[in-house]
Amino acid sequence: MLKRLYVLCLMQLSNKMDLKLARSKRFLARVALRALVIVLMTIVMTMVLHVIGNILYIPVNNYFIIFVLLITQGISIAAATNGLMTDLYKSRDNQILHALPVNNDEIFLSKLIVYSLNEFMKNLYVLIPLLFAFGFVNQLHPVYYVNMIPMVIILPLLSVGFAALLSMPLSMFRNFLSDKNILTFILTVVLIGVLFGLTVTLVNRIPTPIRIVQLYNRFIIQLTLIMQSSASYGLIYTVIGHMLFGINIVVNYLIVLATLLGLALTVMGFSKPLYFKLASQSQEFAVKKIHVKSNRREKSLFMTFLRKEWIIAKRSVNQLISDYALLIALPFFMVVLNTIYMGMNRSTTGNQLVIIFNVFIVLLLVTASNTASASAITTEGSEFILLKAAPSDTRWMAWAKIAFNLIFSSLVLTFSFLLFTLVLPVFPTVDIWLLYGLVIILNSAHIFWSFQIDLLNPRLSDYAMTGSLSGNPNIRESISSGFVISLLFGAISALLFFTMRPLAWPVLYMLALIFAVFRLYFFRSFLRTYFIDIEY
Amino acid sequence: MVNYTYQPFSQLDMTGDLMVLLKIAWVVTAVLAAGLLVVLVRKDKLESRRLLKYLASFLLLVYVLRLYVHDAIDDTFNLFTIDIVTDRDAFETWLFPVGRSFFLIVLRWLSVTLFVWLAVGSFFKHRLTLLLGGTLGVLVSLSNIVLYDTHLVAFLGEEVVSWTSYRGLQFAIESVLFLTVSLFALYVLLHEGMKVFTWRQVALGSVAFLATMLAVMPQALLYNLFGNYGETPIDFNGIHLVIIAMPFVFTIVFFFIFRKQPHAIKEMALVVMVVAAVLQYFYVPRSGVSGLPLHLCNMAVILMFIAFVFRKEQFFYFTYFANVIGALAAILLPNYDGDLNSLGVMHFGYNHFYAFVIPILAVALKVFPRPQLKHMYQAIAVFTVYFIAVVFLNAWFRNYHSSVDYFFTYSDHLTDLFGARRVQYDYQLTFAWRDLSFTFFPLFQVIYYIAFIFLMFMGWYVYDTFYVAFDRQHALAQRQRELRLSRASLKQALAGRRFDEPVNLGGQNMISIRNFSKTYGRAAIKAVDNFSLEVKQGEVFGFLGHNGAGKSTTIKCLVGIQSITEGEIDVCGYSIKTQALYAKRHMGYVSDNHAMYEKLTGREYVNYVADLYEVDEETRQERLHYYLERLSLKHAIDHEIKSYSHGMKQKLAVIASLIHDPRVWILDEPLTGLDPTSAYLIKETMREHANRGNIVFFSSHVIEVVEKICDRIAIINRGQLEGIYELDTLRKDNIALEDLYMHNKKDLQ
Repeated sequence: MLKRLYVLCLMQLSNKMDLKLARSKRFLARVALRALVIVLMTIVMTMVLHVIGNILYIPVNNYFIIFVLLITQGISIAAATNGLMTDLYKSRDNQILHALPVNNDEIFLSKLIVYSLNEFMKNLYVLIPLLFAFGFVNQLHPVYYVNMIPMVIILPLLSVGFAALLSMPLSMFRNFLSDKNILTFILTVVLIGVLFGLTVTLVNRIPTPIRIVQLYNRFIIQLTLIMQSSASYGLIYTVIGHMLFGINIVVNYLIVLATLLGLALTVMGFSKPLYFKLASQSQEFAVKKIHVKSNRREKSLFMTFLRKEWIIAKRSVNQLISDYALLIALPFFMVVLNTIYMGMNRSTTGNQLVIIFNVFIVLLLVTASNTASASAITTEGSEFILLKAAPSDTRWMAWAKIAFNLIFSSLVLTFSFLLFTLVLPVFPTVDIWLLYGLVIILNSAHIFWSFQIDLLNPRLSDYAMTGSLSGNPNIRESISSGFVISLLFGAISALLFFTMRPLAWPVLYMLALIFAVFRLYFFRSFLRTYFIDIEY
Repeated sequence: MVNYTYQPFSQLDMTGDLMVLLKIAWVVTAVLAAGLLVVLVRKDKLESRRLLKYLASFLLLVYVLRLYVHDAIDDTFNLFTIDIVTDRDAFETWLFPVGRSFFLIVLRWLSVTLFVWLAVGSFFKHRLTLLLGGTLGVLVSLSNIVLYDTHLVAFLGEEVVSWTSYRGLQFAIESVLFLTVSLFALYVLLHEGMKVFTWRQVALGSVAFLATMLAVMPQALLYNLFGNYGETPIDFNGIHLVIIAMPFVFTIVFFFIFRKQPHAIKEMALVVMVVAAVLQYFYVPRSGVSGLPLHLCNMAVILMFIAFVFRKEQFFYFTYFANVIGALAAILLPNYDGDLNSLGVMHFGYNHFYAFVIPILAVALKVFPRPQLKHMYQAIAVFTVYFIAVVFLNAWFRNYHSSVDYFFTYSDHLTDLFGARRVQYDYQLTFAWRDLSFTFFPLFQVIYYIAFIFLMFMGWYVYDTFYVAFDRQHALAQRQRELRLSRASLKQALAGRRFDEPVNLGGQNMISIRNFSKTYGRAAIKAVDNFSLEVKQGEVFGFLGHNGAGKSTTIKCLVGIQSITEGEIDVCGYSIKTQALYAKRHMGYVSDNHAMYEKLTGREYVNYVADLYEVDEETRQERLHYYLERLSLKHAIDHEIKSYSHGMKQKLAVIASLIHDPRVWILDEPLTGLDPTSAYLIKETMREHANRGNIVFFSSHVIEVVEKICDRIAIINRGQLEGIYELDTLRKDNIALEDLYMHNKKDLQ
């Protein structure tokens, strides 16, 4: 069994990373570079903890580390649950792995091991520097550092274990919803509505006017209390925190190991009857949805492509929500942040700062949600063959996809800004709608840019093989270009609002329009020239 | 303030006549020296160009030495009395009447410009530079000699000056050398072969000269002529914004002016800037340890000079990665406190302007090669050494001079700027050694270092973004040119016929593949090599080969999915290379992986394909009905494709590919994985399509299938055509296809 497990892990690892590198000279250089990054991160973290402790006056003690562990591991569990729901049950390599002469348990276990290894690698740059920095700041005993080493291994195992356990019922629920688009849509809208209502209620409870200094003391006291009380509910992470501080080391070690073992047994126990069922369900063609329609010719190629996009989007609500998750979250951010801003007593500069922050944050979220455009051609996958073989100007597919993305994101933006106007009547309405116009223009420009990125480097074969966009460099590039746009226009707006307030909006609009026209021009040029060169 | 009233030569320590004789003697000396050099050159004792380089460089050096002493005329204030706001009596500061002062200031400015032109021009074989430099040099140097005594008053601002003093001798040597170099430059020009310049060239040369004048403009000039401006460019006020914009605008304009110029011109223009940067650095008299060029941007001008003159790439890349960032930060957050026209602000502006624009332009204009990431790591390493050095030197030199603060690592300028003085002063480390005291600010200095390294990485990101953008633009322009050429050659091949007419009129009823080869990327081995084939009307043509033999590659190139590396492929007379759209109209294609949008229903998919092939509603209705019946798929046509089995998907792909009734039907491994009924139905459809006068071209490695339905076959092995066979002939000769395929009997063809 161990040998089979080893081979299975190796197979999956070689698919995810360059294992040949381990035997090359570059390996040492890469290890050295990573070590340097860890050292730098540790320095940065030490400074951050120092600032937290000595400037922000938040106590950096054992409660703090338990609290931080709870938060970071909570995020890690959430992210791992999401990742495992794909990796365990929906990954395309399942078809290959299940055909091999191995047990389902072995496949399951091998996937968890591979995922844990990846989690461990990710933790290297955050968890280790954080724990080291914590030790330095508190000038802890060397035992702390000795205890730290097993924890660096145990923590990813715990989060992957919890995530594996959670992924089973969640996958069941997802499978249940998979052919119920309307129910999914309704549930999503209800969930968003409830969350929004909850958010508005919560932020409205903040007493106005918000006085940062006064509130700060209250905030610190509250935070300290929360951190202390969180230790009571921190379960295993409280135990780990205590153990790191050398409290009841032996007993706490035993508790951690027992928990890990118990978790492993529970996961394996549940996975035995469920894993294959869940994994195979994703591959079955059991869904027989009927959509009776007549044979109809569209008026133009553009409409043909747009219609196709619409039908596919309609039937993939989950995908649509996942693609535009950040955009859907926009009203939350806007309302929370602006309620706080509006609750403060602001000077003229303060009012300008509010607008500048809004420009930056809204652009950041909106541009980060253009991943669908940055993978528009890639997600055609092997279907792109059809476009290549067709005797028509299939470049229209790009315009159709852009139109779809533009319409969808503009609708969500309109809805967000409407909510913003309704929920925050104190915010100058003119500024809200001027910001809306600016965001629409820049978002359009960024959509063109993102599409261009994918056009120049489509990953058709990768997508056709894996069906996944994880690690797609075009998406990364699109997000970083969005960040640059946000930063740039944030800085320009700061400059304009502080130096020439009356001209700020006109100049911003002018620059945004120039940028959008520039991006449109280049997108069009690249599309006309390179679309025919795309090969599958 | 100088309390001086201008009085003519009588105040000098000699009579006017003696002075005139002295001036004549200097002119004669210069002419004789130039004549001697000419004689030596003509007798092949010396190489003219090399001699000119040495002399011109020496002249520049003599001038730089002059800059170490303050000139009284630099204190002249508001010569044109423009500034009426500053509470200062301008007249009191004037050494001479307005006209004479102005003439002298301009003469000094012209002199330094010509020193730069002669020095730089001697290193580059650009004749116009030497012509203008030599001609103007003779005029200006003669003027300097004629006004020698006035110059001396301008230097010292004293009533009584002696020509035998240090300043007097220095200027005499400089003036004689200036005239000698100018004359010799003109000779070198004649010696190397004079050419006639057009007026346009002379005009451009004059513009370049004016630009050089601006580049080396004395920092006191604006103050001398116009007094104060009235505003300090700081805190993003209007004038500060203009100053921030200037380096960016200049970089762009300079780049577009020079990008198409020959390499030597680009290099020369940048060297002029580099020399100007050094001069601008020395315009401010420096003394003591605080005057050492250890500020990052001060060091930049020296490093750039070394990098350009001695072609030291390591020096250059340090300036490219570290100094540009430093200069930009300084321009954005300046540390001066004075009027725009003041010497300090002008010096600050010029220094950082050059430190910012020169490295960027040098890479943009390809004077230095584009750096790689490793160059930045090297720059970081050098910066680390520099940073440690200045931290230590600041701590050390503070014992001698309280204003020492190289790169702001000691003073609280930066922490003050960011309101974080506590970060600096709460964490101090002080120790004494003998009578010296050393103070460090570890937290501030480490944060400063990390922040700068972070900025260097950000700088790399920006540079890299620009490189990518430029490369893309370049590639785009090249590809557009290729497409235009391709269209032009098609037009030529069509010889006046329309673009939608076949280029190969003789091949309208066939597939014609001629000397076709395909290579993937930079692979050493060709996937298909020199493949030729013709398939005629009414044929079912089988394409046999083992896995990876090149069947799918050939088919993908045939249907236009992949590009053709070499050779030609025509379908129904249309070239797949240049008339792909028209060729595709006549083709139907079933791929080997039946790629489909699984969220669509079968009907939606077929309609989508029919739209792409422009099939009208009535025809698509009719054909869809026919094929659904024939292939038994009617029951599932309104189901989502994701619920289809492999065979159903294959049938749907067949229907979609036939919806426009193509003249050429191409199928890649169409029968793989099908049940017998489905396979039979598809085979029947293939035969029927061929019987209607169309071509059916399909690949397979199932010999029985090929044997049963094909008229002719081709066998491909490792990318090469093994042979083309008629099935009837093989049957007649009693040769089993299986044997032929397995034993590869070429001679049976």
